[in-house]
Amino acid sequence: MALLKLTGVTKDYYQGTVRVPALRGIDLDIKPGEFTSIAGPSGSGKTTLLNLIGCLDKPTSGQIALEDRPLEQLTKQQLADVRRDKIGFIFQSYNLIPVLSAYENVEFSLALLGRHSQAEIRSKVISILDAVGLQGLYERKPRDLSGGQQQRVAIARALVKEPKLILADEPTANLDSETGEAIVDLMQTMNREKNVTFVFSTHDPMVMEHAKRLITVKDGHVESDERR
Amino acid sequence: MVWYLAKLAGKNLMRQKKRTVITFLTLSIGIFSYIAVDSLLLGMDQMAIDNLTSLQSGHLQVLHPEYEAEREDLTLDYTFEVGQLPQRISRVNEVEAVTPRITFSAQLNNGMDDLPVVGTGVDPKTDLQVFDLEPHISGRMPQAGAYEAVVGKSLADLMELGVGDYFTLISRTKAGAFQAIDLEVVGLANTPHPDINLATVFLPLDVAAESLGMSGQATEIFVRLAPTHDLEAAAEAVDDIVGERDGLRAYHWREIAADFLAISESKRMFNLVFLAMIFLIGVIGVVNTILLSSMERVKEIGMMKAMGLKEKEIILEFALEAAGIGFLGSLSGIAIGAALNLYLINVGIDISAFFGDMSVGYPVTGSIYGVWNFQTMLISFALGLGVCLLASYLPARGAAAKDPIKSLQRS
Repeated sequence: MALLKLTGVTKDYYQGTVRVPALRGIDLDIKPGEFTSIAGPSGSGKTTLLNLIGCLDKPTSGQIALEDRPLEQLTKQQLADVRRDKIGFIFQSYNLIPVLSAYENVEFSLALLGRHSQAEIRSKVISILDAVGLQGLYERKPRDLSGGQQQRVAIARALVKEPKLILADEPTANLDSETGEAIVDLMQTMNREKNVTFVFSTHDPMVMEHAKRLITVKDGHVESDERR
Repeated sequence: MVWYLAKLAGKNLMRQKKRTVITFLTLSIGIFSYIAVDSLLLGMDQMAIDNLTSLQSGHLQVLHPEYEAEREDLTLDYTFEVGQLPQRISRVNEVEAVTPRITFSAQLNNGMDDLPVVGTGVDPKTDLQVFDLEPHISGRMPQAGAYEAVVGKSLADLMELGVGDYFTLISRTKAGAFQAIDLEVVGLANTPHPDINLATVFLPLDVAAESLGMSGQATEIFVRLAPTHDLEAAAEAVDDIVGERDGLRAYHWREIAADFLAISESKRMFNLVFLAMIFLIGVIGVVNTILLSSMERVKEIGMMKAMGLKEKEIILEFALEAAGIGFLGSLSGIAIGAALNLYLINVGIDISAFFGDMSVGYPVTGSIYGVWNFQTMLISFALGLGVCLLASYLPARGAAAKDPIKSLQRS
């Protein structure tokens, strides 16, 4: 069974009255546990595709199903529920809440679910922060962390709620190559150990090398889909 | 979840400390100013009522209805026989004391200058049971049958009179003939009521009555009621006694003090305007703060929506920030207001420097004092909080409704 299935997905934007097609009929299956990279030049439609998969936007036509549940008919509230329960996000610029510590940023993500006791939250947050290598940095605010450390917090924040799918938009773009490689290694480890599905967009050849599946998008089409 | 949003709201308030402090201080200043002004105005009301009832009008007055209509002229056309009226009125439940007076217009002449004054014939025995004049007199009250007078302190200063000096009161008798009464100053009245200080001469009732050709008569009978009383019921009961037989009417002080009550009413309007200004200050401050805050955090709001926060939860987070500002502003406003009130109650404000004994229709002079009004404090707190919450709604809704994709694309 596919975790994610896209059938004939198109997405148009408008610049004034001019229609600008961003995606022109995407068919795609993502299976549970995959570590997939979506590559392509700027303006190819990578981010649009990620936004649609992440329930942040709706397609102009076509169907998207997450665990066989069609997403295009869901209301804004229902899409928010899907994002909360099933999807984790990692952003290029980390997007941590600056007034919260590393611990609190991760805690907030888990507390949103409203399913765990305080003790459970504490145990899960500490466990995931340790797993991403942030022992001893729990109380640091984002401004007191390096870029790599902030991205680790972002990964912990996405992972802590044990989502079905983690979407990462250019996760290494703001990092130096060494830190970027460490972050990709970490995501790979989490993919392997926790069997979480990762889909990320990237320009970075190093990241593409690590992917088990490389989907190349060009001009709104899937140009190639290579499993390794 | 609400706890985590509250925690986040608290931390966000600390993000722009100066802005938060300025916003809540603005609200705080509005609230403590309102508490102080309300306290003073209420205190002035209470003092004015005390002064009116204890120095000028008593609780009830018995007089001719025609006299009430022409009262400002101080006419002697509607005098009446006092006879046994005081004794009959005294039998009414809640009546503590009764005294007749003659109020007439006169000119005070000190041998050099004239000034128009209000002559008041008082019964030295019973007047002090109705009015609290004695504590404010330096010297003594005039004695029955003696050509003595107590003069308002400001009037005496103006006419350069002191205790032991003589002056002449020139008036018209009931029949309209001129009459001059030579009187010795035996006391000076320095009361909290400006009209008394500025324009009143007290002389014995029998001397006034004889001089004005109206022996045994009075223009009014004043009644003091027990500390707890039903003003209107007592007025009706006295009216029943004096109405049919003597053609008189009993008025309670609220009916007499129309000027004062009109000012008191306009004061309430002033209070409402003041309250509306606090609303406005709160609304502007909070809208500005939430608007700026949401504009600065567009990307963060986009990220929170990506994490699954719903619009109503984002609105709630901003509402909690506004509630924090409202709580701090209202609480500090009430705390400072209470401290200021303590000063106003114990020390007061001396308004004589501004107005002296000038009468502005409000029977108060000297120092005015505040009073505690816990209702005002509670209302201020609730309104401060409520206004902040309401004011935050629109900017918060605007922030929450933003497209998360566009928000996340912001650099």
